[in-house]
Amino acid sequence: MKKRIPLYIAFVLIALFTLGSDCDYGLKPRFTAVEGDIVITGDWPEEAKMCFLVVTFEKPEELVLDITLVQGMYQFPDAAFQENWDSTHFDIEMPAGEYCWVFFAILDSTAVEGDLGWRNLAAEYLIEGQDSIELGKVNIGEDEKSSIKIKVDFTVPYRGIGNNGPLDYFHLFG
Amino acid sequence: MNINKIALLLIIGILCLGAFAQEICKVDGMITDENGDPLPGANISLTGTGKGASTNLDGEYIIIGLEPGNYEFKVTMMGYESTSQDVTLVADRKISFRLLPKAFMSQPVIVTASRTEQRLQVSPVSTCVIDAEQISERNFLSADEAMRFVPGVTMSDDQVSIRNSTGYAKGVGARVLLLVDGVPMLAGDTGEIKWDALPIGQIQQMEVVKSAGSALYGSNAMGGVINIITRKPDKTATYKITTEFGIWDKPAYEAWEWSDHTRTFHRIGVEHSRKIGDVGLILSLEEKQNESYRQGDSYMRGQFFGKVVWELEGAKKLTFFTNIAYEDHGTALVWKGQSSALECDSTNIDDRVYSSKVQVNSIYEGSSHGGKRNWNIKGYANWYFNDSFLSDGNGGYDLLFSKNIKSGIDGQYTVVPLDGHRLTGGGDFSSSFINTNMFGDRSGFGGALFIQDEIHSFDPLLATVGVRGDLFHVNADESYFGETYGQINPKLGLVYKISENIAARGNVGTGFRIPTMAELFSELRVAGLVSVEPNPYLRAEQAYSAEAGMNWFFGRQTLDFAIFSNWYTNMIEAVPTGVGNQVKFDNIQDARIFGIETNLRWNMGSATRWLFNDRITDVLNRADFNANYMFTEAINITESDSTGETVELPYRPEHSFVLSANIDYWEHGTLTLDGRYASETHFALYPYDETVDQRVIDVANKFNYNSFILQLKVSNLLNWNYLEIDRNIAPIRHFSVSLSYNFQT
Repeated sequence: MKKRIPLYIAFVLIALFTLGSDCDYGLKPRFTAVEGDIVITGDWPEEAKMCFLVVTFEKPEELVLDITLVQGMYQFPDAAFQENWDSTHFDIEMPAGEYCWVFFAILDSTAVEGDLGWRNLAAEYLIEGQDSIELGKVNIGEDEKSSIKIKVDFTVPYRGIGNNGPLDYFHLFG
Repeated sequence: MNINKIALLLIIGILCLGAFAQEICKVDGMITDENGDPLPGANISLTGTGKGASTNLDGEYIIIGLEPGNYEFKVTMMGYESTSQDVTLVADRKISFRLLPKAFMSQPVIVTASRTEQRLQVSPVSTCVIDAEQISERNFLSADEAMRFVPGVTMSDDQVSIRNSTGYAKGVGARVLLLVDGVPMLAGDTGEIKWDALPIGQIQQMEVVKSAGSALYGSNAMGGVINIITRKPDKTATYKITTEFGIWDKPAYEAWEWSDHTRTFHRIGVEHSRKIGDVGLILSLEEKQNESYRQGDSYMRGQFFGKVVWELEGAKKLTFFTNIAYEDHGTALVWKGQSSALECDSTNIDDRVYSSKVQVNSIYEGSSHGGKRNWNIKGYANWYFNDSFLSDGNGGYDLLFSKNIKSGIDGQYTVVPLDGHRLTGGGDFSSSFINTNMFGDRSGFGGALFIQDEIHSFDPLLATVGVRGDLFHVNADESYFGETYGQINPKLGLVYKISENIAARGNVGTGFRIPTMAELFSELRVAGLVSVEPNPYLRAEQAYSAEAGMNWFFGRQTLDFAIFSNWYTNMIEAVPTGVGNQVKFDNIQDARIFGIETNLRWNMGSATRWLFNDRITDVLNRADFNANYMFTEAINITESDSTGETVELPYRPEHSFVLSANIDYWEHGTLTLDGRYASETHFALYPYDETVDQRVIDVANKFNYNSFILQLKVSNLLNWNYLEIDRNIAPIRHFSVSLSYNFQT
């Protein structure tokens, strides 16, 4: 009996190892993402301190974005505004789904809690039709990458699609 | 030669023979188990002499040919606790020994729960004990690795949490007080535990107190206390050389492979221990290197541990111990998402932290009146130096430095003033001085007084009442008015011994934690990714805690059950501000952590004796099994009330399960199997990332032969990929082999 114990133990270990090799491994690689380019026209605002691309399920009615709506976020390197880049690339891994609001936001040094949202809007992902411009939706399937392009024009104040509030709501132009 | 001369020579010869015979002694006796039954096959050895014997079928032994002198008799047997005894031999002696089964380790003597020695069974708070053998059998590389398998403890990367008291803030603001031999070891600036500076190879016993300990230990102990008790110096000169080599397995998926070569790790250590007269000494030096399974995560560590114990006259003892550690560590904050989970952003690959830690501690302790009066004075000074070179995201580096010294003195006196009472009182004083470019030059100082009475007068009811008052002042500067934090924390603990083997316990108390300097003043941006904003007007957090539990010690089995609840006010957590990836430490007005925990230790042989024949029972008798289940519900009440939905506190698994089994399957071999499960948690920094539960199995095998110990280990056998914190895949499968050689001179 005693002589066989190491054998039994080896058997248990091999069984465990085989079991371990045969089952799944928890988290898996996923390539679900939205990627694309931001193309800039004009000079970046001097007040810029941080800039983000934000992906949310829906566009909120309120001025301030509920942080729980955010599904993906990418912070651009400071060099983008410090060196006045005219375009920059982003790649945001996120779960598959339909996202109704993709926006580009610039925060200045006065940004306070809950400031990410309409007040810092610099551009949105838009679909330009022949006669209209509307918010673009991003659909990402499992293990798919969606490509989008966002145009930012710093020469013209941007208040966002569907926002009719006064222009001084906006940090960048207030 | 006449007859007289012959008689004289004979008499002289006989006297000489007699004298010679007196120089050779014999020792015999019997070795029995806890019931007085003989133990055949037990080994008895005389340390440092090479002499010894084994017991026969009647449990008897005999050792002959011993010269008079002092000997250390050491008795060992598989499945039983080893014991030793110092013996002075002048003539033949009969010495018998009684061995206790290993399962009885579940009720060892502990010193942390009440700051005095007591049996585990009568501790009024849940306490878990890990001994040196359990650590040695698993061959842990560092103390935080060992914590992952402690029942009721969860780790979020390097942040320890007892019963889910703590979330994750990169180690900052620990709610668990770490002590080494009763001396506090938290850093003065961040209040974090520096795991790499702890001497994992020198641990004799690790005690984990799982309830608010502020009534005895003050701030930081509100979530519990871990006390690492280092070993005593050996009586004879001993040397140990340890080498370990390991490799990281390939990632489970080709898409996650990022390195062309096999990633390795290794460890080399030497240690020496001896006693010279009344002075005992331990010296240990260790070097570790780890290439890591992740990009930008390699480290090199060096560590020295020294301990000097001087036994003075009149049952007094003076102990000095020091820990000096150096680390060069990659410090990427997060790794990429699931497309390349083991790669960090290219800008962070070369981010490094160079840190040095120097801890100098002394303990002067004594005992008198037959142990009825005990006292100790502890002094400590801990220096921590950190230089972090972090990418600024624009091709350059930011240097973040922090130098801090935390020092203090702590004294306590225990006395039995009258029958049925044991009174412990004392106080401490501490100060912190910090110089950093993360929040400037800061300093603070504080003091505390405590008293506790253990009342045995109403046996079988044991009551413990105590109170502690703390004050801590954070000094002002030109932009800050300074703040004084203080609180009085009472506690009441009751233990009722229902029978010899069953005890019920309950305790209530309060806890509090002063915000650390890092939580108050940190203002930094890490790699353009996360910005931390200061919040100098943070309030201290408070907790009301209550626990009820019961334990059964039946034969070699133990069962423990506890139900607990902690209500927090002004709980300090790192919360997103809503501005990009900006976080700050803020007070959550109300939070609650409720839970149950149950623990079973089971000896397979005695529990299944009725089921199997003697041969199988004999093997199972040497197999111990431990299972722990914990359920917790950690709720942010303030946010739940405002949103109308239940909002859980992040980084706290609802269910966790720890299972350990070890079997001495052979005279020279021990197999250990550890498994743990924790349900999915949600994260604060990337709350939308996919998570999975934790399922980790480690297998270790220890062979010992003469002075050699060979250990083989597979960690994360199933190669399960999971996260403890945001975008940080926990260690993947890795293999290690270590060889130790111990010898005595």
